[in-house]
Amino acid sequence: MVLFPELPFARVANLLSFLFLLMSFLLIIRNSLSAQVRMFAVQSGVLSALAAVVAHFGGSRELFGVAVLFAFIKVIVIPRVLTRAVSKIGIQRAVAPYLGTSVTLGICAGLVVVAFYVMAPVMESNRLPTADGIPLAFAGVLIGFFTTVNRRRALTQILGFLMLENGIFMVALLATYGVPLIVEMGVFLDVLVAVLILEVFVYRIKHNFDSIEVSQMGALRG
Amino acid sequence: MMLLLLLSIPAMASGLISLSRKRRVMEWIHASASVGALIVGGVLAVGIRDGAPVSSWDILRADALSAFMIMIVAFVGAVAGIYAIGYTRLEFDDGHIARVRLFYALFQLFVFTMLLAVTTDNLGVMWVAIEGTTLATVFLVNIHDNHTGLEAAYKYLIISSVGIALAFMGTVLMYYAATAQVGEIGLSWTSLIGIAARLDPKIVKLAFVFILIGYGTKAGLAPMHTWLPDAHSEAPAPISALMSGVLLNVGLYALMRFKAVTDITHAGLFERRAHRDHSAWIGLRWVLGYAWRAVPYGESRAGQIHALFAFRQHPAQVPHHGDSRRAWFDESGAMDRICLSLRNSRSAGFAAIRSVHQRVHHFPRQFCGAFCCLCGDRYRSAHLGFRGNARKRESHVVWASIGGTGVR
Repeated sequence: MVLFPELPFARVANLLSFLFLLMSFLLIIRNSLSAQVRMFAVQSGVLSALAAVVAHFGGSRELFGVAVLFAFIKVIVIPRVLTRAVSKIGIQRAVAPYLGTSVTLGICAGLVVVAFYVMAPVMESNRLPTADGIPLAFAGVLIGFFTTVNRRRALTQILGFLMLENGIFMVALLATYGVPLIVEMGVFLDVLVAVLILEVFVYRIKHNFDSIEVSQMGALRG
Repeated sequence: MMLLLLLSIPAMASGLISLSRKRRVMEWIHASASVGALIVGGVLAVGIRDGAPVSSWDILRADALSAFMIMIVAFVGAVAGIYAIGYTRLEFDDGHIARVRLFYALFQLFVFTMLLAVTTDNLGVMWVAIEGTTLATVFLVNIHDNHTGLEAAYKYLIISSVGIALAFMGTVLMYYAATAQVGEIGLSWTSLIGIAARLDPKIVKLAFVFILIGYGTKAGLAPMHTWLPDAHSEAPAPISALMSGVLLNVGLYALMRFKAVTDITHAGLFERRAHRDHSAWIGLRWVLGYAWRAVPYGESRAGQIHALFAFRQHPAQVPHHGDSRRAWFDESGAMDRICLSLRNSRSAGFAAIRSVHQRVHHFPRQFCGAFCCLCGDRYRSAHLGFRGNARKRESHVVWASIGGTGVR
């Protein structure tokens, strides 16, 4: 229930939320890894812009700092790390997902519908002008999750995980104007460290299996 | 203040170890930190038992449940820590000093993150700490840098991180439910439990689903448990002990904190129906887990279940895998019982008491971690022969059997 839909704040927030989801879709239909990494960087850029908008209209200086830090980590540092990994590994051929592009798109469209259904109680009770974007953010979470399980390449799985993280950050942003600063800092730290560790693992997988397709690793049956 | 001291011991030890060059220095720091944490943790736990919860600033807080967890972490940490010294001497010679440093530093970091997870009042910090346990252990799983270790570690990292991310989603929703009622709450558990009765039941239920899947991943609940047997069997024996003895409990601890809030929120209007709703999740999981654990032991129906879960490798096929895997099955059995008792319990307080009782009751099984040490020893002696002199071997056996007293 948005109380003041005519406010520019609500409109800008909605626009950015749609752009966010658009980037998720563009990411999943792209085939080359470097294009996927670029899409992720653009998505993170949209998200940090959204955080800055919310900080401006919500009058929170703390959140402004979070937006800047978010942009630094997810638009600059992490895409750089991933681009470096892509160029070092040096294979650019088509990514092999378990499902084809059209099926994937269909499933992701279904996930958007599911997101609207699941987030209905949150939308109902939320009185912030940003409430309309919540299901879109949650759709981003679901699509990220789906990408992680659908793709065979370690790097794309990492991108799926990062999209999932972006979506959660956005849900928090739209529903509550962000979680407390100390938690946000901890989450950024964890994500950054996770990506750095995963990068090392991508190199090791490439070195050991001469491929970054995770389906090559099948010795253990957990 | 005691809480701060407790946390600073492993944190400082981790830092000091990564700076030191000599093996003996590392071992001394490691051993004294392990024992020191046990002593401080013991003093703290006794103090909490007699009095009120301890807290410092707004972030750290320990009540009776935390005290119990502190004792488990510190005790298993100390036993596994001292055992680890002999283990690494056998495993890595002086040519691999960098790996030894990595091992000890990450070991202490692992203990630190677990202690932080059980002593913090802030649910967000708890999440950060639990994700930290994954990040601290992932290189330990792959410390031998071989194919299977790599596979196990990658699987562990990606499944745990994604699972834990879902738990963060749940935490955000819980935070939203609270801020919708009272404005700023700073995401602390004490304030959340204070207003639990006024929270929106629908949102809390939604949040709890995410929490259950997310922290359930860390506690090794099906269907997000697939990282567990591999990571346990590939990790060095002392780490394996800490994982099955403590790490799963930390995941469950997080789950219990949220369950206490959910129970209060749903206690009013919806009581029975709502309770059944979310306990159905745990019940389903219990049935699944039972079927799953039947796999390695099952005789006639095993084939069907194998096909169902694509569990193609019999644990007994690979001796070293088999032992730690079997330990995991015992562990998983204990987890099942705890979940079941959580399901049956009606109120929050009762839930805590029941499950703690269950844990004490199944104390031996909780200590199958020590059993992992024994397995590790058996594996080492079988595969590596008696490298190192006889006295070293003896001290191994002594430590392993001290740990092993927990098994029976």
